[in-house]
Amino acid sequence: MEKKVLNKNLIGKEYPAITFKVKKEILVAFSRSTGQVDPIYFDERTAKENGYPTIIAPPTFLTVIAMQQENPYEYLEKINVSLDSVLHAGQDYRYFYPIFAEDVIEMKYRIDDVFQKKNGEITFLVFQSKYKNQDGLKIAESVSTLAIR
Amino acid sequence: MSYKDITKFKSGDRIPPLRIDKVSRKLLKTYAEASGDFNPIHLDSDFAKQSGLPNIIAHGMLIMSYLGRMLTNTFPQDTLTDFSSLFVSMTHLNDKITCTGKIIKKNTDKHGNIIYVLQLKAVNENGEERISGKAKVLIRFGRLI
Repeated sequence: MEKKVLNKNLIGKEYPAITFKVKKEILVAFSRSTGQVDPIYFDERTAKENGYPTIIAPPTFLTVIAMQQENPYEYLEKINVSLDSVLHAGQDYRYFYPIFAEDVIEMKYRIDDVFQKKNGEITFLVFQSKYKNQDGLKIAESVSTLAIR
Repeated sequence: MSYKDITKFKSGDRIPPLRIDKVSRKLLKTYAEASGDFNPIHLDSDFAKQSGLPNIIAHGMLIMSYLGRMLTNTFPQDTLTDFSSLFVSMTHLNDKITCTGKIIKKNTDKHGNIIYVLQLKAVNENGEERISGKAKVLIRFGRLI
């Protein structure tokens, strides 16, 4: 793919919102793949005994919402960034309310910053995302920084 | 699961660390399937090498998930308010990751809310830092679980 100069004009670019149903199987598979062993992540009864309405999503589950799209890299292709040039440089989460199995999450995201380091050899793209659940409750915000080599 | 008394930590205390089996292809494949992140730099050696990497590398989010697991092993998940990672260097195949967390600040406000700030690290078996992270934990009204 032709390398296009990423510049500050991209700041503020908004993407179409993503709506994601948190199926129990997806939640459980993610928790297992990251080695969770506490049954509150797998077993509804244990979750309830611990005061949760049902199975809870682990802290990094938010990453799944953007990734489980038909083409999860479309947001990069749209700005001509090829996948082999991307490294994840940083990830920040702020949590307001947990995600539970069978929730429906809406994610809105935009480009928050673009800057260069090493005389322009590396471009950093900063994405800001906001997440709400089916009841309109604000559940989290994230800032994701990608390094484009 | 019962949590130990999590209100009694002091600044400088360490939470129990988490040691992970070495990073394998199988592990990365399982994580790719579960997360939906099939970026070939995590799965395909030829692609990774063509991209200028020594071989496939682990998903940064997998390593961050281990830090998250260490945190939730000590603190109930809903006490976690902030969690961030700087991916300082790439995690390679066969890296043996250890996650550590140290309380660097404890505040108790007038309502009795306890706020801990933790410094987090994920390092490999040679002590090379892969993630430098931070977390904030809020225990409302200093209540035990």
